[in-house]
Amino acid sequence: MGKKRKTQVFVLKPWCWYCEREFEDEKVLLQHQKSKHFKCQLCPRKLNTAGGLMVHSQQVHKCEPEPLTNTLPGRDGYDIEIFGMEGVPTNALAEWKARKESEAGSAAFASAAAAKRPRHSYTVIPEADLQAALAQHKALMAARDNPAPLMQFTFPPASGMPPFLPPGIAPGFPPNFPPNMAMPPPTFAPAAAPGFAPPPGFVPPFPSSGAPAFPGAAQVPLQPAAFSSATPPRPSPAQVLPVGNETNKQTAVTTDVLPKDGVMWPDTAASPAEKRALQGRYRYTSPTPDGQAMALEDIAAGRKRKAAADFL
Amino acid sequence: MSTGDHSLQPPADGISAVVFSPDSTRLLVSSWDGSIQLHHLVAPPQPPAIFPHPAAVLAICFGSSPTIAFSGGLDKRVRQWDFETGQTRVLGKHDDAISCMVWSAEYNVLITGSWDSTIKVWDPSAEIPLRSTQTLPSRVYNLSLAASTSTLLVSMAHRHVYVYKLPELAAVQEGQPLRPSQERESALKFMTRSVACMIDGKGWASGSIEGRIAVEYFDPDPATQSQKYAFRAHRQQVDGVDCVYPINALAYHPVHNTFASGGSDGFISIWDHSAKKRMKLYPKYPTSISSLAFSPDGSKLAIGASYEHDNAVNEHDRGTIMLLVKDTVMEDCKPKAKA
Repeated sequence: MGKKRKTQVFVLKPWCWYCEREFEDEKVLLQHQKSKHFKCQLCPRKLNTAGGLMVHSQQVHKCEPEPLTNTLPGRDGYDIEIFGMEGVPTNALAEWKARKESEAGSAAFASAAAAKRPRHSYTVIPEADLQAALAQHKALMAARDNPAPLMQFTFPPASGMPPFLPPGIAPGFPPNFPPNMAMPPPTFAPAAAPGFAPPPGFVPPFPSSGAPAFPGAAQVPLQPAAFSSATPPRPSPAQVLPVGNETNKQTAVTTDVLPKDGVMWPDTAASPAEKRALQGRYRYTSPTPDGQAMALEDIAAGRKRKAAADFL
Repeated sequence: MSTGDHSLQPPADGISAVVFSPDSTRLLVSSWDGSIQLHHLVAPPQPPAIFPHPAAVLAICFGSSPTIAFSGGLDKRVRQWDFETGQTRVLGKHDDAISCMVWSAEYNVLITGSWDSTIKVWDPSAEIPLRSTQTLPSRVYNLSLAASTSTLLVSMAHRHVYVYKLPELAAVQEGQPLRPSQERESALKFMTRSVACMIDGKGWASGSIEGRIAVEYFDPDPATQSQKYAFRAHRQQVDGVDCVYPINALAYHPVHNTFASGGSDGFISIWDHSAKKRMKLYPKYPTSISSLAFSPDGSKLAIGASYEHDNAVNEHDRGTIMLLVKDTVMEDCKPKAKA
C-alpha cells in the first residue's frame, strides 16, 4: 500500500514564474532566474531581482531597462518583484497548483488504470482486425524477401537537366526563363550526364559552343545571355576559373607580410584583396590585346585549360 | 553558434559583397569564384540564379529596380545585368580591377571605383554610358553613398578620403576634372578597410585593417569636427597576444541609424555611434565576416562569411564559406532609449 500512496502524494516543485519551468530545488531556480531573466543586456552583470535590474539599468547605464528576457509573453514587466518562489502572485500560484494537481491526478488515474488493465484480453478478436493484421504481416514479409527498389529513377534521355543533381546545387538557370523557351538547353556535356554529381557549390562547366566571341572593351549592344550559365561573354572554356578547388591555393605567388605583434595584416601598402588578386587562380588577362603580357596569359590559360579539362 | 540565422547556399569561393534589392526581396552575392548569385528571399527556398564572369567579382549593386544590377571585378569591366531577360551588357572598363560601386537612384547614375585610382560615373540609359572619370591620388577601396545628403564618400589606399557632392559629380562631363568638396585623411592611422555613411548623412564610420573604427562627420565646422572619435574593436586575446583583426564590413541600419561591423575575427557587433555604445555582440562565426548588408526595409541583415586571405583564420577553416540572413536586426539595432 505504501507504493500506491507515494504516487498519490503531490509535491509542488519550485518553478519559475517568468518561464513556467520547474526546478529540482530553489537554489537552482534562483540561479536560473539570475542568468535567464535578470541579466543586464548592456553589461555582464546579473541581478537578483527585476527591481534590482531596473535600478542597475537606471543608475549604471542611465537608461530605461529593456523588458526582461526569455519570459513568457506578458511576464516581462518589472512591476512584480519575484525572488525564487517568493513574490509569485497568489492567483498565478493557485492556477499553477491546480494545473499541476490535475496533471498529477490524471497521471495517477492513468497509471492506476494501466495497473488495473488485464494482461490478456479474452474477448474475441474481430474478423476485420485479423484481416488487417494479416495484410500487414504479408506486406512486411514481401518487403523482406524482395527488397523494393526504393530509389528507382528513370530519366528521359532527352532531358536537358542533369540527373542526380542533388538539391542545392545551382544549375545556373535564372528562375525566370523567357516564356518562349520552355526547356532550357542542355548546358551539361552529355558525357557528364549519368551519375555525374558535382560537389556542392560547384559551378557547372561551360560548353565551348555557346560562348560568343568576346567583344572587347567597347560597349556591346545588348546580347542575349538568357541562360546565364551558357552564354555570358566568356572567351573560351580555357578561361574558366578553376573554382571550388580550395586545396591548390597558390599562396606562393604573393609575398604576404606575416602577422606580427598580433596584427593580422600589418602590410599598409596593399589590401588583402589586392594581394589575393595576385594569386594565380584569380589572375585574369584580357582576351583583347590591350598591352597585357601575353606570356603570362599563356601560362595561366595552360594551367586553366588543364583544370577545365578535368570537368569535361 | 549563429542561432536564428537563415542560411543560404554559398558560392564556391570567398564572398566579396552582398547587396539587397531596393524592395528587399532579393539578395545578390558576388564571389571570388567569378560569379554573382541572385537569391529570391520571398519565394520558396531554391538554388540561386548564377551569372558567371570571366574573373573574380568584387563589386555589385542593384539599379533602381530589383531586376537590374551591375557588377565589376578583376576583369576590369562594368557589366549591367537584366535578370528579367537574362541579358548582359558591358558598359565600359577601368584600367584595373573594379573594387566598389554604388548606384544613385536619385540621379540614375552608377559610380564605380577601381584600383586604377579613378572613379567613373556611368549613365546606363545613355548611348555612351561613360559620363565622366575622376582621377584620384590613390587606389579606390570603398565607396559609400549618403542618399539623404547626396554625398559620396570615397576611401582610398594611403588613408585618403574624398567627399563629393553627388549633384556636381553626376553633372560633370567627361574630361572635366571636378574638385571634391572635401579632401581628407582618414582619422585612423592604418589602411581603411571599410566605410559606411550614416543614414542621416551627417557622417560616416570607417574601419581599418588594424581593429579600429572611427566615426567622423562631414560638417567642416570645428564644433562638429571635434565630435569625431575612434575606438578599438574586433580584437581578441589569443595566448596572451592581443590579436588585431581587420574590419571588413560596415553597414548602417536604414531605420535606426546604428551600424553593424564585421571583422576577420568572425564577430559581428552592433554599435550606436551617438551613444558611443555597443548594443549587441553576436556569437562568433567560424570564419571571417567578408560583407554585411542591411535590407532597405531594415528587417534583415545579410552576412557573407569567408576567409579574407589576411591570415586571420587558421589553415583548417579557410575553406568555410557561409551566406546567412539574420532577421532579428530590427529589434537588435534599436537604440536604447535614454533615461
